[in-house]
Amino acid sequence: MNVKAIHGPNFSGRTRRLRAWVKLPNDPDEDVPYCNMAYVGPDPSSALSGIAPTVEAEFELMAADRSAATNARNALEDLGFGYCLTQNPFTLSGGEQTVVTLIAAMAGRPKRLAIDCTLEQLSADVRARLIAYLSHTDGEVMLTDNRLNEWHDGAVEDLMLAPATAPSTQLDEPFPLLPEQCELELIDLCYGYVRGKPVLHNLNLRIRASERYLLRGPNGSGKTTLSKILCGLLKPTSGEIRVNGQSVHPWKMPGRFVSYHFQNPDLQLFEQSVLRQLSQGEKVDFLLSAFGLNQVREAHPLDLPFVMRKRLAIAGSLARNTGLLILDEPTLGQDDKSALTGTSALLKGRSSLIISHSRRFDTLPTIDLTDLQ
Amino acid sequence: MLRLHPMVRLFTVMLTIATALLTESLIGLVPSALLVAVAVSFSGVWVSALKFIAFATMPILIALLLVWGVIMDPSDVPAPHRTGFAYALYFWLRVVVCGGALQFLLIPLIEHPANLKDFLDRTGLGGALGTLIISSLVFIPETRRRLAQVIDARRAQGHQVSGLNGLRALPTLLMPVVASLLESSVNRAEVWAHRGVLSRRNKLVIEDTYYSRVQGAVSLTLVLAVVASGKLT
Repeated sequence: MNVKAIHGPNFSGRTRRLRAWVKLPNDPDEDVPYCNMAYVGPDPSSALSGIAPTVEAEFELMAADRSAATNARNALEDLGFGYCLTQNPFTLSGGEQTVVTLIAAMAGRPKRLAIDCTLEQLSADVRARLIAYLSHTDGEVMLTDNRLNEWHDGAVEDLMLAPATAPSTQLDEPFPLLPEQCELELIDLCYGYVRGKPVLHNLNLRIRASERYLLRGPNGSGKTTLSKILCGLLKPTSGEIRVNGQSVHPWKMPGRFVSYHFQNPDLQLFEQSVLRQLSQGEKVDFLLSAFGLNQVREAHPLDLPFVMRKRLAIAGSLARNTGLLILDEPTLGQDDKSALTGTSALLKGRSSLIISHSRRFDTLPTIDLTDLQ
Repeated sequence: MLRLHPMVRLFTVMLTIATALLTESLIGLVPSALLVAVAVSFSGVWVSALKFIAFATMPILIALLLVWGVIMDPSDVPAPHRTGFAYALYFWLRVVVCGGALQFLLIPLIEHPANLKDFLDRTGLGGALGTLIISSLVFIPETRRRLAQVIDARRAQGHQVSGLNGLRALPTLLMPVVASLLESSVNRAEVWAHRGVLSRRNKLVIEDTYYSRVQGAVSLTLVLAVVASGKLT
């Protein structure tokens, strides 16, 4: 398979270009033609059939024939995600879902496959193996990725598009408010979705006050699960959580100590306008400028393009000014100019946990989940 | 396990529902109910069927018994039913028969979606009608999933989602659910149409699937007997 890449900043028309390449209309009123091609966007769950109860059933549904379904199963196992076959595709982590969605798309033996920023959720190792898998199959692949410069090794072709006209971000000024100092300690923390299969096992971890950390680990290692426990959405099976030395039960008061920015920004956008969305928190004008949202302050959040929705959701989480801020893949869909990095001053002095596979945060102290358990 | 050809399955369900809707007496509905009970038991969907009866139809039965048995005047009860309780039971049994028949048809398709392609292919219900069928099958799980995600997101922001505060916040909760449902329905329709999932012949299933002619003949005989019994009563 021929793998090409489009390189360009946000709002340079990459998505339009990719959709046109696989003959998908950009006008919602136009009919979608059948042409045995596939497009997968930044949210991989939207490219799933929505009806298959397991990953295996998803492959069978999307496969062109029996051998394609078998190949898909084998590919998933070769990539180290064989355990996902019997799981519901919607219960998988972002990275696992990305792998499943792309393999399911390939099972249809498309003539062309467009990958729009989908690979950003993958660890370097999985991404490399997935690209190798894609390059050994029939048909053509065209992809775009905001981290091409991190892994571009000459195997893909750059096509520079028109310069961007997107409102830029100004993330080099610290957020004017700082919450109460919050030091977090996890002692022998365990959690599993299924009995006997722990995702987190005897996790011991200390997050110092005012420090920013990069939370790392392979896809499916429990990064999002840990965030949900800290935020209070999940109750740990066993273990203790301490805030400033005091034992706490976040599941009894979710969101009190921790503000969690989800990978999918749409889940966090509840209001009728950008301004109203942010006005529930603090320092609205500062955030509008910092995230380049001033021009769209009266717009409905769900009418914005993905990159702006992501910025708005991050701004909303920051505005809550809680003791700990967790950002799950904050650079998803963001180009080099507008994305947060490890050196951005915006989060300076704030206890933060950043989940990302991007090298933009390599300067931060790293917590690797695989080393801690 | 039943190995009914999709056409036989569809024909059986349609005739059973039609009979249930056209039969005017409580006794006349009993053969349809028995047929549905047998079909549901042999196709392995009896747990779902029992849940449907217990959680979806029992509240309806209680409401019907209250309205027609207690509140309404006995002279208002439509003929040929002698009492309000009998009319309430008749109405409830209709719902049970129609719901059970639909479960017999749809649950195997939902649990094994590869069969759905086979079903649509063999019954000629592909294209726009197939998309409509899939949309209706996807709607409930998708709504449940989106609602759970939005509730999680609200809780993560420190909002209460239960009790009186939760009730007050319902509009804020529903907006992202509806918006994300609309978006996901567009995305799913795009995926199905663009990749031609329904327009391809699914060799995977067709090669392997064995349909029993004997079971088909028995099923058709039974449903025709039910139709006849409905006419006789």
